[in-house]
Amino acid sequence: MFERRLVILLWCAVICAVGLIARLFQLQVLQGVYFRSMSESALERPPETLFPLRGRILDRNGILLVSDEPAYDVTIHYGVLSMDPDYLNVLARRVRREPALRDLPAAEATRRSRELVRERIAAMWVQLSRASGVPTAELRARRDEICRRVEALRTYLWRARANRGFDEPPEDVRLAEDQMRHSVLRDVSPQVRAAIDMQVDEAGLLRIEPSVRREARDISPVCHLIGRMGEVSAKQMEQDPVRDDERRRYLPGEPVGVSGVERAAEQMLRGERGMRQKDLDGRVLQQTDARDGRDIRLTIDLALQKQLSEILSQAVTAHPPSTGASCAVIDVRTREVLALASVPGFEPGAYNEKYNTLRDDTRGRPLLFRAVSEEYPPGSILKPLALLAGISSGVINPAAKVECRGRLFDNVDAWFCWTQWREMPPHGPMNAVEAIQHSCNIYFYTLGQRVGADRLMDFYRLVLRGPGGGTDGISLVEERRGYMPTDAELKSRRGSGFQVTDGRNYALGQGEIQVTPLQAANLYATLASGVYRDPTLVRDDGRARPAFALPGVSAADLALVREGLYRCVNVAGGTAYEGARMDDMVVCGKTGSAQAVSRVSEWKYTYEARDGRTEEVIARTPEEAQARLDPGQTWELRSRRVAERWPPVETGRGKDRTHAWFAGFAPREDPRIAVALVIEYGGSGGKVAAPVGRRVWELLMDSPGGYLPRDAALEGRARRPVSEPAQDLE
Amino acid sequence: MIYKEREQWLSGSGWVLLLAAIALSGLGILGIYVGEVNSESGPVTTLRQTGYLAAGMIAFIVVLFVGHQRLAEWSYPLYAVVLVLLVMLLVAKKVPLEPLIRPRRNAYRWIDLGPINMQVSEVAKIVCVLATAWYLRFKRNQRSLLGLALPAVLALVPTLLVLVEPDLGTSLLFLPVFFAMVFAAGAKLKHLAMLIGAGLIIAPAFYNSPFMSAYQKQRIEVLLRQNEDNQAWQMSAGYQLRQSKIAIGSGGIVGSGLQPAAFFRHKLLPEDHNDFIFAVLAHQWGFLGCVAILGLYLLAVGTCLVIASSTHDPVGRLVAVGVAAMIFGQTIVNIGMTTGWMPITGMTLPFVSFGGSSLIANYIALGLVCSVARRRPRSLAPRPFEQIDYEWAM
Repeated sequence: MFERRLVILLWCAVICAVGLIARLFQLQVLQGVYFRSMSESALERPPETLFPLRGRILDRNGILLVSDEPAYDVTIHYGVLSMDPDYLNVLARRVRREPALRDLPAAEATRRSRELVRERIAAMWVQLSRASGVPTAELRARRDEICRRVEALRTYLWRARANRGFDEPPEDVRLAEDQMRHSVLRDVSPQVRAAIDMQVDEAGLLRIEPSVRREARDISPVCHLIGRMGEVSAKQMEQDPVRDDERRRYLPGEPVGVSGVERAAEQMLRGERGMRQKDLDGRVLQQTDARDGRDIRLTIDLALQKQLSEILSQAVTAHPPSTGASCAVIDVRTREVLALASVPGFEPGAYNEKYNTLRDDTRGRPLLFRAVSEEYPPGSILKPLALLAGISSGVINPAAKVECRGRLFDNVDAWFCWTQWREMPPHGPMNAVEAIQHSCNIYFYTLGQRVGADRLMDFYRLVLRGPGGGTDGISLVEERRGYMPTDAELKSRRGSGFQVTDGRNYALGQGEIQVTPLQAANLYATLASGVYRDPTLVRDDGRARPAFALPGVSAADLALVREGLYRCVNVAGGTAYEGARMDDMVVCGKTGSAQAVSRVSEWKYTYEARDGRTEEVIARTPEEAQARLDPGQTWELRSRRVAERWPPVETGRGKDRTHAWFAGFAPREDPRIAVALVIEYGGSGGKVAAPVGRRVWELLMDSPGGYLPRDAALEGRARRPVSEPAQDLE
Repeated sequence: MIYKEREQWLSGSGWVLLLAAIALSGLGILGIYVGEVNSESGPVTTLRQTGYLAAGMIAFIVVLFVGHQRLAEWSYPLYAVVLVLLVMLLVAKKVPLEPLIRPRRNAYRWIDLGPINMQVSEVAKIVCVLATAWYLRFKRNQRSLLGLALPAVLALVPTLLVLVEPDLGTSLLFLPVFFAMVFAAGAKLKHLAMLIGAGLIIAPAFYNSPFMSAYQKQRIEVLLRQNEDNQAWQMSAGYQLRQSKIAIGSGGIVGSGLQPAAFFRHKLLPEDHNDFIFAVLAHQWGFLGCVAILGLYLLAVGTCLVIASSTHDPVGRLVAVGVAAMIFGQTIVNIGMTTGWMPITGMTLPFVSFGGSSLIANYIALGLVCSVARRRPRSLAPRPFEQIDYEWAM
């Protein structure tokens, strides 16, 4: 009777089935390829990153200074470190699936699993301490330190967001660090690793992850030079030239060289990450190996630098109140820097531990890399360059004589030759060569006045910094370019541009001009070879360092200057004759005693609190001052005044503190090595620096590197014993 | 009514039904096995399902011999028992009735009967079909609106009780089954239209009623946002459907066959042996296999309808239609949800999904239909419905 209705029902079923078949056709046939690739990628594990080793740093003879060594860290998830309730609940849910809890009623299982998680975390710390031998208090301190750092970052971000108008509680700021595992123990030994694997890992809270440590060998003589590693900054990541290369660009928090060679050679030292893709069964589907960073071979001779540092330390100790010394040794032809000594230094291994002491030593300033990052007034060692500037500008005839009567003007109580202060007879008439030999101030006052401050300074800038402007010197981040102001710069700094008197001062290497010891050494290499070239610290770094001839200076002019430098050391009456003359090699050089004001070593800081209270603190650094303030208050620095200068200031004509300089090159014929050294507040260049110079030359001759040959022809030449008090010459 | 019992245990159409069902169960067991091949504890689920299948066969034979007629005569008391059980489940929510009734994933659906955990709603479906068929055997009942009201209540009461377990999928299945039975019984089209109209009016109110919990509404959201390219969504709420579609789609035309599929071995599809077994089969056997599976279901449903049309016994006819609607309704909803055409509900795929209650219930239903095929009224004239109206309709 109602057969038709049954047929209708059957049709309904058929239509539904056809509809489903159409859907299946769409999914399996039309989109089959897409879903197949989806299922394949679902079966892949997240790709693992293979980290490269950072390149090693070697000295010029292949002695290992710094290298990456494989290490293992013990890591713990931040949720466990901070006992984040959300993460603990995630762990608890995992625990609930364990057989012991599966059959309990829901509420009971939840409560029990949360208890279990807390118990296991507590047990993990105890067992970790037992396995590693690190006391629990120490582990707790490390945990708190990690949490403090992450929370500080959160607060920082929260502030930044609040400033942009976000209104949210600080806990709501999510960080990548919240989901990361943090190293609690770095570089653990295989024994500890095994113990942790066996005893502790049952709860799966700890993981042992491979990492590397940067291991420094005995590098205290090059402590300033090697530099340190730190975490990459957001700015560095942004400016990274390979930021578009997925395998080379920095990862957040990745170690990066922040100073010294580690930073300068960063692009060579850093490697290229690899990638490994495994499927869920653990089979390797795809692997690209990491490419380790290139090894860096420095031009520095570690042994030479070590001995050089000792010589300088002795000189500093022997000449109080000297605060430090520095010396740069350069190969004249290649401009490879053989040594860049700076004393005092520090023990790199103890840097972190002793940082506050090192920072607050404002007299010795052990953290300062004097050879490249301290600018000194050069004094008389710049006189040969002043002469070349005069010749180059066509104003000076080297043969013409200038009469030195001890003072520039008879009726003005200023502009003296140094003979006047030592109560010696004046030099009398001097030509260019004699003026360099005797370092006559009157000759160079006259020269400076004629050439003019601007032309002098332009020439200085060109020769000291090179045509590149000094930016691509040895490209250490610490490297400074010296101070060689233009007229405009000077105006903005002191209110008036170049004056006639500036010309006189600049010709003597005084006044505003300042150079680094490395620049001074390179200057003498330039004088020795006649061409400017950028110095380099890294062998084969592939940098083109073209030689560049000095404009308007002929070979004859250079010979004239070299003759003056030769006489200065080797002819009686030369300022370096007593201190630097050698009996087995002919050295050309120049001394300098550069007047310098004493540096401020203590300040009186005035701080103001929020409530208007002010406090005065005498301290060496603002950090030290702040450490002494009440930490409960927010203090703002209002002003500071000089509290102490070091070395102590003495008043009176000729009583100014002077840096003792010696700079030169050797041998006279075919010069190979140029040296510049400065003893801070050491006194007279001839008396203090020149004898140190002699020891440096001897060191170079004795070095197995064979940097300087002994000249057998000179063996018989009489040599003045160093111990004999030298005559006050300059 | 006098029946002629056939000589053979199963009629030809009965064999067709049984073999189709066994083929589906076999595929289901293979699919379950794929998910736990190489598993540490061995193929436990596969073995359990095989045991359930054996129990289902026994239930099938028992029902075949007891006969649908006798069961239908007992349908009202059975219906009452089922209602009591359903109410007990409700009570268990407030008053702990352990160890008899324990919640699983916060749902109260099972009664623990020692060796077997009975899912009451599976039994309720069958009893409801029987009771409805028993009631609708009177022509008066089908042709008047008031007569239709009672079976509507018969269907609605368990619907509501199952709904609050909560088990939205099963509860909504009662309605199309009821509708198909009323339709086949010969209700006036006017009345059917009124039923549909009432349903359409109630639906939006129901969607906004407290019966619909937040997670049920989210499942509709899952359906609507399934193609969205939102990683967070696809890895949280949309994960189940996304993985299911990947499993189905990556099966391609011919599927991966019997080779152990890494996708299931690594548990990338949750509920793979249960409500989402179809995704496993689709991955294993591909598009062609899916067509064959749907073909088996169509064959079963068609056979049920043929049996319905070839009997003069009104109860038997309505039971056959009801079972057909029940099986096919579940199939459509289950495959629809695995392929992303319907919201995800806890609906099993008949004969295939893992689960004792559901498998045994399906074989009981099958036994009822085969019993209809075996026993045909001994009358020459077609008398599809009893014309004698009793004073007591029931």
